[in-house]
Amino acid sequence: MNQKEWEECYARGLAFFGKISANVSHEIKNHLAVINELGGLMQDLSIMAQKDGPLDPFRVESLAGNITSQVAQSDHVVKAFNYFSHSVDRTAASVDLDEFAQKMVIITRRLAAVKGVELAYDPEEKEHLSMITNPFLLEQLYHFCLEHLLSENKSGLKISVRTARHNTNGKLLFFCSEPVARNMPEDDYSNLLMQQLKTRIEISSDRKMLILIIEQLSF
Amino acid sequence: MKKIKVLVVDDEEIFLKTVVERLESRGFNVQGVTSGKDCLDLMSGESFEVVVLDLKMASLSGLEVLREIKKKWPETQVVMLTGHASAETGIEGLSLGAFDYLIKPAPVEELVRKIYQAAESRSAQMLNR
Repeated sequence: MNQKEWEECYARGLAFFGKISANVSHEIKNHLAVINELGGLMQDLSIMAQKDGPLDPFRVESLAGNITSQVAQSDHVVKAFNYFSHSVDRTAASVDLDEFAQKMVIITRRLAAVKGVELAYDPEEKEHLSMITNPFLLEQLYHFCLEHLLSENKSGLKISVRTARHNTNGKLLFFCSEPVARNMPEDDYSNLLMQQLKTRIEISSDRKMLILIIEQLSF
Repeated sequence: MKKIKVLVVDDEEIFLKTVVERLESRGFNVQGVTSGKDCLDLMSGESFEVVVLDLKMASLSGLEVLREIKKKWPETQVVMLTGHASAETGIEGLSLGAFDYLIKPAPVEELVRKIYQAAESRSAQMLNR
């Protein structure tokens, strides 16, 4: 990379990191808001019980179960965000592609949800595949693909992310419930990322699948 | 005393259900819907004094819903809920005619206080017409 490309990479990478961090903080805040209301309701019920009679144990159990579930969901997000945050530690690392896809789906699900799109990780055809690559740049390419699909503004769309082996390389597949994938727009930065990571993007003929093909980086 | 009619709009179902129950137990006449579209549909046939509106929702955003409410039912007061760490979006909502905003998570007493203030402001506006 030349000096100009490094500067572009730094600025765009920082903006991406900021966007994901803000998104995750909003999601955690949402869970906290739900926990706050559930805890508050338990308190209300307890105050009412002091005046009107005993608490319904099933009601309390259900509310406590909802709180536990909200905590578990937030914990998934925090763990995925921790994975993402550490991706800037090294410019080349061994990445388990399945783990990568799973974590990225968790931290970007809300970006899709605000556009009415359901984003899921689909482990059905899971093939464990570790790749030597630049994790942070790969995350940016994943996000670039996702944003491209979301830019169609198709509320009700379902996108399922899978991984697959491609000879010695890996594939990230974005399966869409309806045809939305178009050729990627010409963008200097995404071209730079693809060049650095030796990746390319293919679109299926029915426009329902966007495929990111990733080569192993060699040294 | 007549109960204040409140509509709560939030696409997080558990949050919605819980807030509705907590407001009901504090003497409000409350209904809840999970989308901006449902909110506008319901308001077409029924009037509400105060709408408690989440700003970040799928499909139709809270700000879009707010614009529609103020265009069609300007007398209805809107209290916005936002999960944003910064108050920027809340302030944008105020410029579009919202009564006030709260940042989630907020104590229910604060929400109750805002609803009373919003209902009073609506009554005063109606009297001054």
